[in-house]
Amino acid sequence: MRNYIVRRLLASVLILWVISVSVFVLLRLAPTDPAILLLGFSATDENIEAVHEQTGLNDPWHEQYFDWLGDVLTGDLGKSIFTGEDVGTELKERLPATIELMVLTFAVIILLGVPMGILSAVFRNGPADYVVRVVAILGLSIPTFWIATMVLLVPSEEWGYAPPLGRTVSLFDDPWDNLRQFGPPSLILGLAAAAGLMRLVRSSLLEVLQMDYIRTARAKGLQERAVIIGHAVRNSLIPVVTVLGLELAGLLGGAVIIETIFTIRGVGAYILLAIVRNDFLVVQSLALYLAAIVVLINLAVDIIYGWLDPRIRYS
Amino acid sequence: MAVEATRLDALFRPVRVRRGPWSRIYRTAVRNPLGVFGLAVVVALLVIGLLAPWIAPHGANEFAGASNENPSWAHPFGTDFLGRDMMSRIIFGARISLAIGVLAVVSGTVVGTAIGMISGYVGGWMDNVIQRTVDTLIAFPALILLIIIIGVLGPSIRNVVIVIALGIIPGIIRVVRGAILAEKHNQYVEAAHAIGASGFRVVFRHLAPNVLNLSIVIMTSLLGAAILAEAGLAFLGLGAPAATSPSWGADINAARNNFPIHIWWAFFPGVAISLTVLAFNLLGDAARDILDPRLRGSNK
Repeated sequence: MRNYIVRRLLASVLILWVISVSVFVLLRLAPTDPAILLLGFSATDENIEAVHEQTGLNDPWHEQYFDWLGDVLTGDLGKSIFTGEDVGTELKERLPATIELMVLTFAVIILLGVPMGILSAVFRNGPADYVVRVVAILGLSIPTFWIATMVLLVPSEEWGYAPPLGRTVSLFDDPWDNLRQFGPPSLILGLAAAAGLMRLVRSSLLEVLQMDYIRTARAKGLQERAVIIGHAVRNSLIPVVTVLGLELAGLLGGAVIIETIFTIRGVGAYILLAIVRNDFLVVQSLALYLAAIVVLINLAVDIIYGWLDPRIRYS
Repeated sequence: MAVEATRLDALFRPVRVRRGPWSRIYRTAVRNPLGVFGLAVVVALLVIGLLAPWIAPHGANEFAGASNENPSWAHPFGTDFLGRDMMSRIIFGARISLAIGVLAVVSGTVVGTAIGMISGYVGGWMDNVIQRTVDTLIAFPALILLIIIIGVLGPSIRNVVIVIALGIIPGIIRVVRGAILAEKHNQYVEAAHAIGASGFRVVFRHLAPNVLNLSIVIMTSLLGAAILAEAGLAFLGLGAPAATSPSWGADINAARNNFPIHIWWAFFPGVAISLTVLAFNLLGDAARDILDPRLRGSNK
């Protein structure tokens, strides 16, 4: 087990290093010069040069890279060259909104995906199964950003209703407003992933129900309820844990869209803003930061998983 | 084996009903009504996209009526804030969606399959490097990677195709590599080596046909996701330039940022995207059921 953890840790460090290099190089390939974007097209060469000098854009690439990496490793994510804001401070302000969005979204995915998947598998080819399968394929087909747009536009035109927009309402100050703000986006963001999970739980449970030990459980006279809940469901959820871990990367991508639509001041909206502004340093620090979160959480999932299911460790 | 089978075949020939290809297609279709529906919608969309200039009542950027009109006989899907006919814009939008989706998925699948085959067949350090790269790409939020690359390259049809293809390649590499690992210890591979076939020939001549079905299944099932990705990028303003090529995703974004609110403007492009993606998803499920019997009925 210890070897497994050490091996996975080393792999994670390697992955993060590769990501840091790729993002850094990628952004340096951009044809646009941030100094020109900052100063406008009428900027004089001296002014542009001054900005380059000030922000270190004149240094050779490898120096820029190691400067940045050194800063990031000591917890300094740098400053935006457009607003001068400290990325770390901005991140600290925006992180709670994104975390709440992610937690609620995962709750939606699990609460919708697991029970509906079980229902669908247990009543295979029955009416419930068809309903779940139709819901699942629709959930995978209807774009999140469209549902979100309609959910904002329709009530606002028909009833003049809008959820709290543009500011972050703290859960502790005003739970009801907070829920009005985070409920709809989490529900919408969770729908597509829940649809995928329904299908996964269904196929996984159908597979487990074919196993010999299920026949044994039935043969020894257990009630169907006990067979399904006690024996089948528990085993069918093993692959679900891994998939939920992998889902996080996709949901952070979805957060970019959903936070932008619902004007939630979160990390996703921040990274889109930085990309549109060509704010290099913000993009590369944020990208590495998000990648680190994803890698660490997946590492945690894998370790828990290896601990729960000894078969995984040795493969 | 083969000889015996032929003899048995001859024995039963008089009583056997011969089935031609049409009858086989018919039986497959009856068993997959949803797949047939998906296929019909996809074919209809392809026709609409190809014949757009002749089918659409108005040009995509033509001022055809008053602005922000509700649906009517003259404009079944209403008009946008500039008075452009939404039905025409949606008909023209099919071109962008399908072209980008199909191009991205086909190129991504071809490249991913080739890399996956080489990775699985050659093994060793090359396999290791490829797999660690795949790990890295999978660890990173795909959509964020796409928007960073588009942000760097600048939004254009070509760049959108490239990033969507890049987004699907890692998954394909992984699946195809797995299939090759399972396949390469078969005797026909050994036989090919024994008669002196080169590694290149073994991979592309002998192994490739055996993972072809898998690639087709992956390809069809990714088309829906690719079209969703295109719409999402266009929605974020990172798709093809909206002025020249109408895109469903871009129209939804335009409707959202318009005041006064005009719901129909956002409604119909969303229906178009949903229907297209649904059709491709149904087609993908059917393709998997037909071509990959191991997964039949598992609905994974």
